[in-house]
Amino acid sequence: MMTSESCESIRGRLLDLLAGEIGGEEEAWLRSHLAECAPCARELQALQRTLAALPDAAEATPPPEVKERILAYAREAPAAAHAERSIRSGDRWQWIAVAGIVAALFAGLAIGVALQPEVQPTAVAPDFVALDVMTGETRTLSDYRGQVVLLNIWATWCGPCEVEMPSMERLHRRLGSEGLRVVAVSVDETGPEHVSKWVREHGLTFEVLQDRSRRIEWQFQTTGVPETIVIDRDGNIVARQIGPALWDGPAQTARFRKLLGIE
Amino acid sequence: MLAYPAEPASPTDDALVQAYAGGDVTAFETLYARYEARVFGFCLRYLGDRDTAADAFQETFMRVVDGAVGYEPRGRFPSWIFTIARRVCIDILRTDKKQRSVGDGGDIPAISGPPASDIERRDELERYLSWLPPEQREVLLLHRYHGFAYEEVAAMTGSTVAAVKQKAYRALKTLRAAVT
Repeated sequence: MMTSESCESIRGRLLDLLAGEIGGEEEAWLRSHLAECAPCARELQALQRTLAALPDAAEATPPPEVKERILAYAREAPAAAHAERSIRSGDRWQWIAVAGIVAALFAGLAIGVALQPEVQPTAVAPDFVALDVMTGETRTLSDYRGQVVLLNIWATWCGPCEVEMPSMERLHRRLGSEGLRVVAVSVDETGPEHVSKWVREHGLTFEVLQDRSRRIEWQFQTTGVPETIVIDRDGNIVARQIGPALWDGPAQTARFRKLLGIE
Repeated sequence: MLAYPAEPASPTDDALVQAYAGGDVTAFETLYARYEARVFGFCLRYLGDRDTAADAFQETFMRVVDGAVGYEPRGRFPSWIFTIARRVCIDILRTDKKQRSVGDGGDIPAISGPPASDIERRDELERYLSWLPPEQREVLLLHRYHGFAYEEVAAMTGSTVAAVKQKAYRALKTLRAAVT
């Protein structure tokens, strides 16, 4: 008669038995035990039933736009060039921009702009003035001094702007508590109530400002909307994105985490 | 168990990675086609959410692109890419820990009653799979669904074979509740 300890030991080996990893005398000994020990036999049957009931499908198809992004990333330059460029920071950043454009194109959106190379990291961001559409307060860039800022310039009538907003919202929810300020400045020339209504309808919780004079566009020398500028804690522009992007992917998030100094 | 088919004699995964590292983009496309469904399936089951899985999947292949030049051709490309995918998924789980309500290894919800059909049972199992602690879930995914031997899973997860088997056993004991 086996002791309870040996039953415990045997149950730990039942998976090996089911996988055919036990043979010869050892298998014979295990099976003789199972023939005599009802609890262990029930355990084996239960494991067999569980394994048999597990869903078989181990494969799934990713969204087609993801495939396009990956292949675009791989196609544009051979791996050797990628490896060389990966030494420099910002490599992924440029490709995230490409990914954003590809995603928008895939969605049937026409984007008449090209990817602009990352600006010099020493460029100091100009201080803008804009109105908070939810509170009516005046905000300036200097209000965010010491923080990492994702400054998005957009308009309610701009389809690609709307496309990227959900990912900005997710990024805000993910890293807002870590010190990232997502600030979207609308250049709509309509009243702020029109913009605030749009914000509520889209469930945005990050800061949305408005500059009806559109002065911010020439301050940052933008070429249209959407355009996004990333500003580090020292007030320097460290990245620029023309066109929409997906802002909350792992690579993007890692980039922001690095800027925030939290990893 | 769903095991990987034997690697085609020519071109092998290793040969494709090396060809891509040398500038042959078509080689990468072939490699991508071979692993697309399997890697996305892994990410999907690991994270339990299609959007998040798509992020993990994209990041995994971008890291493959970035790492192609330094890749050592030892015939273990599947281990390499799934190790990358696993790390990416873990990073996402850590990042999202505060926000995630499922898949965090917390208490598994009580069963409302025995499943009435095979479809219900399967749905129940899928739900339970997503509730397993990540360290148990990944063992089950890599071994059961993707055909890696326990020894390979141990190497991929930085664990011992005994510990991996223990996790697989615990995972199945948990899932048993949805079957019996």
